[in-house]
Amino acid sequence: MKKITLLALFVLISFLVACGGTSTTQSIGTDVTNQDGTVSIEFYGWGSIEESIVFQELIDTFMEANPDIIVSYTNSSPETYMRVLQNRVNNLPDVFYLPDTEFMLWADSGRLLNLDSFISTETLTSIWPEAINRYQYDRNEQVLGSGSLYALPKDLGPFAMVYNKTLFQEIVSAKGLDLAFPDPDTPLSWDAFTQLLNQLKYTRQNGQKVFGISHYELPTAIYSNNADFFAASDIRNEGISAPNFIQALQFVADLHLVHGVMPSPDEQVSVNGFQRFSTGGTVFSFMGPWDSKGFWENLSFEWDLIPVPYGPAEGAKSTTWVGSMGFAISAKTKKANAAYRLAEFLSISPQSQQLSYQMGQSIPNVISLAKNDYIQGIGLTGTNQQFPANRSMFIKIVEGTELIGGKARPAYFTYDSIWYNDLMAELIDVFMGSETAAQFANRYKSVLQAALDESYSYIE
Amino acid sequence: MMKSQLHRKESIFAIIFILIPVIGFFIFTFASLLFSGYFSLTNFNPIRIDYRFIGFENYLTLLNDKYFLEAVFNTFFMMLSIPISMFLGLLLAVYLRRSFKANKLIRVLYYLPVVSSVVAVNVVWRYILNGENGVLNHLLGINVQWLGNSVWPIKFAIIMKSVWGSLGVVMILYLAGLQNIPRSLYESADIDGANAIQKFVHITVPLLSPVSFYVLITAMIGALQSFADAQILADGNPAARTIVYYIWSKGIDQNRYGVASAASILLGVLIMTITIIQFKRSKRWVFEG
Repeated sequence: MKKITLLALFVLISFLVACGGTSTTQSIGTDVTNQDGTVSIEFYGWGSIEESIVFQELIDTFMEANPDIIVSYTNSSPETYMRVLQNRVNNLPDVFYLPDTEFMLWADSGRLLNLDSFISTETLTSIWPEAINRYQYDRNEQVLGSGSLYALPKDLGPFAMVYNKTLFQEIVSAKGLDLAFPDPDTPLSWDAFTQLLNQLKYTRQNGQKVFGISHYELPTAIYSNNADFFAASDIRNEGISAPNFIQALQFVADLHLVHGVMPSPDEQVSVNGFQRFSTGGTVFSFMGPWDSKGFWENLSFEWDLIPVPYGPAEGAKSTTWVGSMGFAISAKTKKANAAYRLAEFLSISPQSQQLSYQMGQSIPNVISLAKNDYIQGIGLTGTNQQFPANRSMFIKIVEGTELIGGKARPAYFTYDSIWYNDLMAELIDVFMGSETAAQFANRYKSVLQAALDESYSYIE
Repeated sequence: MMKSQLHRKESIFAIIFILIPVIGFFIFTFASLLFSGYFSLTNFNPIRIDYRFIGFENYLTLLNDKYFLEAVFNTFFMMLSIPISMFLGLLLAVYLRRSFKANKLIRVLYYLPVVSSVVAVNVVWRYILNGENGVLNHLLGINVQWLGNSVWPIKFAIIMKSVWGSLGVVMILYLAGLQNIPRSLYESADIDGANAIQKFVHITVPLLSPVSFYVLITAMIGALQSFADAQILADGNPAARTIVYYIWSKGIDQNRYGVASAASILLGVLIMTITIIQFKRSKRWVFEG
């Protein structure tokens, strides 16, 4: 009986040791190493199969240049990524994607490694300041955009207005209009844009209705009317009851309700903006740099970018939202040096940045590369890859000009995005025409304020 | 002596076999239940390292949360599919009890949704119900935005899909129940001059009541736990969110594990209460022979 017990104990111990993986005995600097002196790190990201292949190639390049580091890369679907990450929050991968809208919660919770001591001045100055600021957080003051750096940018994603040039020309010819393509550099006012959409109303011979615009990005309308979701005086207070906000909200609703140039909310559920634009069902839509790949592969027409229209409010300027994703490092990692080297390679190395824009995934993080190689289209070889001709629009949105600008999504500025998702669900009443923007704002402002208060309740 | 040793050996093996599911129950069910109960009294968010005890605040939040109350209403409203599928399933079973050429093929066709992937089925139904290009609108020559933002079309769409999905299993259970009804009862009724409807109402329905009770209980528990329709078919449409979708959304999606745990506890209590009431009331209408 004793022998059986000892045998069982031996098997159990062997099993536990085996489960423990490679034993770690040495270290380079502060990193825990394997027995052979290498450092194994885990990198977790999301994306399509093509994106995962690209990243695996990049990682292979990185490992060739850094033979002391072994990277284990796992790619997940965008739908499940954050849930998986949340479920393993106590055992995070060494390097992982972090959407900017999640940044404040994760940085404030102490889950992310402070990168201040890793990043060099050279790296700092080579990247868009907007991208660096996006991942700075002051944990003492609980303020975004200043304090320590907690992630390196994977990308900056300006969401620009795109239009189908071929369809535009088709409608102009069919209706005998005297219309030129919209100016690629000068934004239209909302009035001028609405007038243009009305002129482009069109039904094909087979009865298919062509819409002026597939949908309208609400933050873009709000930002372009010199308004915001929060009060100008205090970001923790709601701003939806401000006149500029109400005006912008009503503008979006009226595109369908009054002008009939945009699909109804129900029609937008049936066929989303991307699908409608791809199938020639609308002249205008919105796109981010990451849509380029899909457009190159699937679109059989010419398309280009224009600045988003601006509202009538005083001080209003063409402003759209700019999304972002970061490469974050777990605060608990025992391989911080290796993890940072990988994150830096993916974030700013010429190989990764060139491959990323050539794959139609993002604009470069490195300013010089974005302003030269990207705008000149170096490495963009195929015919379809020449679109959009006005690709400098993406850069203008990020950099900001006198007429054009960009801003982070509303959820980035708050502790979580629950309030934003609830707001979007409730706004359906305005878009369906059951109530006006002013009625909605008046009814919902206290609910929104309560949601914002709840969002910040963890850090009071 | 030999016999008692054999008995002891058998007992040890029996305990080992029983132990596996019992351990599973304690880890995955009982411990989860305890944790849920505990977390429901805190503001636990897994991303945050710290959390605090907040008493019954989460329960009060739920009772004042219109999304939770809507989810409760939606869950119960969509239970309309249960009587419909029970009625149609019974008719189908009576029809398929007779032997004819395509009998087995029809049984297989109706049972197919039961063994199909829930995700795949819901994705296919999204195509069928698409407001612009959907097959259903084209076939019926109507223009209903089943998956749109209006409150009722999505609910009816889910009821329709649920009836289609559960018809097979209800039919099979009723078919099994029908096999157990003695032929002699129908023959006696024939002698007494009963017509088909009278035989159905006075013999078939009462004698199938244990099956009906089983179907009702399991279908109601299943409906209270409904999730995939709200998540995949309705894509989170507020008009179709169920209690379990609410729990998932609060917990997994929004990291509000405290509120999600409180909703889980309330759901557990609700299921238990409904089941107890049904068992108590079953004495009045379930014919035990």
